[in-house]
Amino acid sequence: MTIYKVTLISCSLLSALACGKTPDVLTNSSGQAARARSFNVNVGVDNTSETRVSTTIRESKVESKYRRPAIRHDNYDGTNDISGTKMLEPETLNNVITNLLGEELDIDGENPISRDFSRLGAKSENTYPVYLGSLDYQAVINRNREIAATMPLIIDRVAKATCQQLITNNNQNIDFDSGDDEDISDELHMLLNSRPIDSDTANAVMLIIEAAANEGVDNSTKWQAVCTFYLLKEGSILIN
Amino acid sequence: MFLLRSLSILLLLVSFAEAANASEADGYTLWRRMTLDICQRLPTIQEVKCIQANNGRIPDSRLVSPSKTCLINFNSVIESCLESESFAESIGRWVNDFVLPSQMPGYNSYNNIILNEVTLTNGSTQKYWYGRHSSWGDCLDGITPTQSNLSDYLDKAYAPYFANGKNGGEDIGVESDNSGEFVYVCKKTGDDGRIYSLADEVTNYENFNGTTTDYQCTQSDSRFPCGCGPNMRWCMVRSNLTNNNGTVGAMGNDNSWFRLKKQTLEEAGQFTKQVVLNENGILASKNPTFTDIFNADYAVRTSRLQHFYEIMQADLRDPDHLSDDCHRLISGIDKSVSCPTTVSGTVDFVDYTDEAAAPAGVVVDENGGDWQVIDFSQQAPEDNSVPLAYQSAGILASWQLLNRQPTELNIANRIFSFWTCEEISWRSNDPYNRSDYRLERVEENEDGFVTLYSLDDIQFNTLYRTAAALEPFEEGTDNYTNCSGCHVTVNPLAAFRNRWDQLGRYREVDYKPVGSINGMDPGTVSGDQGIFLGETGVGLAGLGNILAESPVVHRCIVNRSFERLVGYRLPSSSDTLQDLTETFLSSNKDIRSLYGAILTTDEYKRAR
Repeated sequence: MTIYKVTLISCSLLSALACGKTPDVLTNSSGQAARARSFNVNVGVDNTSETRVSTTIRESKVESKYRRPAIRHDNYDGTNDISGTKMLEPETLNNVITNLLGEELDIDGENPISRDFSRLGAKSENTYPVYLGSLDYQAVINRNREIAATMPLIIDRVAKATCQQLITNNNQNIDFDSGDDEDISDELHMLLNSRPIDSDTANAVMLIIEAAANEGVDNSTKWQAVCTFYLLKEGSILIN
Repeated sequence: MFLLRSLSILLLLVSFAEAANASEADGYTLWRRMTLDICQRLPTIQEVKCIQANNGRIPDSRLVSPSKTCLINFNSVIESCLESESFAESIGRWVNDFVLPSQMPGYNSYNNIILNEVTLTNGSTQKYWYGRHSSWGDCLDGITPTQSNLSDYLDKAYAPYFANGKNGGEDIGVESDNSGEFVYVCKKTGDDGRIYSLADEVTNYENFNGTTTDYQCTQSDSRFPCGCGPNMRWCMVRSNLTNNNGTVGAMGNDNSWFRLKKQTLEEAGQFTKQVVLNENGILASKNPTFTDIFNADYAVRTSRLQHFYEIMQADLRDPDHLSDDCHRLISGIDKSVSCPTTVSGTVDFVDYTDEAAAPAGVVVDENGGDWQVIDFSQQAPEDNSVPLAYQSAGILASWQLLNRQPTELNIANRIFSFWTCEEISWRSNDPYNRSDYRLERVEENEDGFVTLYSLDDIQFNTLYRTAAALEPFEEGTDNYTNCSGCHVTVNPLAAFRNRWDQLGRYREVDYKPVGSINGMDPGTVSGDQGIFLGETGVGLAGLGNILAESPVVHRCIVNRSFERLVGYRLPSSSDTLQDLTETFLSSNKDIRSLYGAILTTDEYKRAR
């Protein structure tokens, strides 16, 4: 059974989705980053209550300071070298998101996953594909298909932006204003996680919805939070 | 072919309709896997609901209509995806991954060419092409990375590499000066065989996204001109044809170098894409098979790129090379200069800056995206677009691979390991060491001659990997006193490329470089005969034919495709590998049939 942690964090649900600053997503229970044995991805935040919904996406084990942490799938059994974490190639990820949105991802006027971004001097630069495993050196023959520690950082940002665009544009014709939260949660889960919602996830979603109600955020913001939670659940937007 | 693919997918779906094995992924997982791998998208809500209605299994298409619970034919969905352009593009990327890193390090190494529009201070806008460094080079000389200059460091190149002896020898990590945390800024295959990634471990994300900027390359940049690598001649021609000292060249406007470069970067991928599309692509009349990527007698190029090839070959065929004036005359930069008509008359001038003046069929768009078939079989033998020895060599004759010196061992290693699935045994202390295959031992014999090689130094069991290596080597060096005597055995790829010298010149006549090697006359070209995988061929086309026909390569294509979808390679003794290889060959080497067949394997369906 998956246990979703509920703890206090420092930013409001609303601002976390729109504040535009780098989220403190890579933290372990001690508040340290990067070298955490496990870390959480914040999907909804609330500084007025004791509520935060997060999910552990990977175990991280640092083998040495010179070597990247092996971030493995929760189901990794140590016997299979791929361990289920076959990462999408960045070009494929870009196609997947474009297909999902019906248009290209847009973060501050550019699509940072695309190789051909259109604007000069944007913060994200054109580095996302490199972080996500494309080739960047003549002696690198194979793409990195395993998740490295920086990737959740990128994916967190991409997931939030994707969800903002997805819910706002709603080209998937989900009736987010129907008022039937269970039904919407299930459909959104089918869309993003490719299967009907399970009870654990449904319970976690209810926590997000309750937090959203407490904060008084609008409907779109609420579903953006749920959407982000879905996309980051077990790193699902990133892996195949 | 279509039938074969349909049959494969049908079998797949029938198998899913059967009782699921406990070790198999459930229908939701499997369908998601398939749509991501093949369709480049997530499953739709309707598809998920269909699987839900079928008790968590992918519905057998035969049951769709009778049940009336689902109107989606899952078989057709995958079939359609395999036929799509996006799937073909993904295969093109895969092959391009093989070609692109073959670039030499230095200032020609841009794998990101982008078009930006900037607003100038006067309010007008201007478009620039920018190249992003993706290689190590001089840009890092003299820089000692610290926390304070980390951003600046990342400005210069996002994948720098500390060459031996620089910045701490083999360490490729950047250590901050205060926190003790490390940031890795390049990829490296470690001793354990794993690829360590760019920026593997960071503590402050802002370091990576805050201040990096593009490096705008211009011709006025003193580091840019052509004395930067072994492909100098190509570089000179390219420079003369494009932007040169502020003069507008034939290939476009003031950023035309990047425009052309971008197309050269895409060439192999575009070519492969069209091969994969087969009946649907611009090569429909050719009915290509996948191994055409090695030995096709056609190319896929833009008109701009083709023009570049023509001028380039005219230069390389000229014993003295075209003078800069010839380049300038042909390209239209300066029509007042002098150039022998025998040279200037061989290449048509196309002004890519003037759409109205462009000949029919030439598209003068910003991206130069008019990819088209260049059919060598329809060209006269004396055509300048490609030397005879390099016709029918597919991507092996692409600019990215031709634009290298013949002894560029990185290319040889890549071809060997990528298409044979045999790993190169790198030296343990330097994964990028090239000297394993280079004759580096220098000693004087009793006659005072300098011997550049010793049999003891040659690692026959690494690159060459044939037990009969020693004999042909001795024979080769006995028979030839020139470069090919060694190349034919030591570096097989170089032998196939023997007519290209280290300045990128195609040597149809003798050419003696300054400081010729003792006992050898590099000016004498004895032929392009090489041996690879135990087969003999002539020229790059010969190498292409060997690759295209080799059972080793066929199995490797299959195994790398399997690896792409499943995550690991099959052992050579695997029945699955044998079955998939037979499917690949029986489908006339159709990569789409192969991918369809991989989806049916137990390994693919297995829960991960």
